[in-house]
Amino acid sequence: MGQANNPNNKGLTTQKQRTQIRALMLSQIVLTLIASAIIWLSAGTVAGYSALLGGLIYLIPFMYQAQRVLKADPRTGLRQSVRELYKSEIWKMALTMVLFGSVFSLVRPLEPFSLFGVFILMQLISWLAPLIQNQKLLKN
Amino acid sequence: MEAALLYLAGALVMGLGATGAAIGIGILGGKFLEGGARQPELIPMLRTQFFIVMGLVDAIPMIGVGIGMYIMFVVAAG
Repeated sequence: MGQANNPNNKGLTTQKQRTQIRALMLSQIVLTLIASAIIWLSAGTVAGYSALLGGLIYLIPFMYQAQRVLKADPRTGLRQSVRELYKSEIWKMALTMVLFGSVFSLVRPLEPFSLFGVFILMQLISWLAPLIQNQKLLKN
Repeated sequence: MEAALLYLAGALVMGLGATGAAIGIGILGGKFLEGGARQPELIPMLRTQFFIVMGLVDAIPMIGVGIGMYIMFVVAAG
C-alpha cells in the first residue's frame, strides 16, 4: 500500500508489472506449444494443428494489446490512457473475430474440441496468473 | 429453417456475451477514471491493472465469439 502510494516508486512498480505480464505471455506461448505437441502425439495431426491454432487465436490479439498498452508513455494523461485502453480492446476483439472467421472458413478439416480446449486453457491461465503469482500483479 | 435458427443462436451467443463485456468494461473504465482523478500519480499503475482485469472481463465473451463463429461458419454452413 505504502509502496503503491509513493510516487517515487511508480516507475519501479510499473516496470515490475510489465515484467510479470511479459512472463505471463511467455508462459502462455510455451504452454500452447506443449499442449499442441501433447495433443498432436495423442490425438493425431488434425487435433494437433487445431490446438495450435486455438492457442494462436488467443495469443496474437493478446500480444498486440499488451504491446500497445505496455509501450504507452507513463506520463500519458487520464483521458488519453482510457482512450488508448478502449481502442486496444476494440482492436483485440476485432482481431479475435477475424482470426476465428479465417480459421473456420479456410482450415478444413478442423478439430473443434482441441481448438476451443486450448483457447479456453489460455483464458484460464490469464485468470489464474494473479493467483499463481501470489496476486503480485494486482498488488504492486 | 434449421440454418436460420443456427444463425440466430450464433448471433445470440455473440450478442449477449458482448453485452456482458460492455457492462463490465464500462464499469472498469468508470472506476479507472475515478481512481485516476483522485490520484493522478497512480495512472501508470492503474493502467496496467486495467489491462489485466480487462483480460478477465473479456474472456467469456471471447469464448462466446468463438463458439458463435463456429456455429455460423461450420455448423450452419454444413
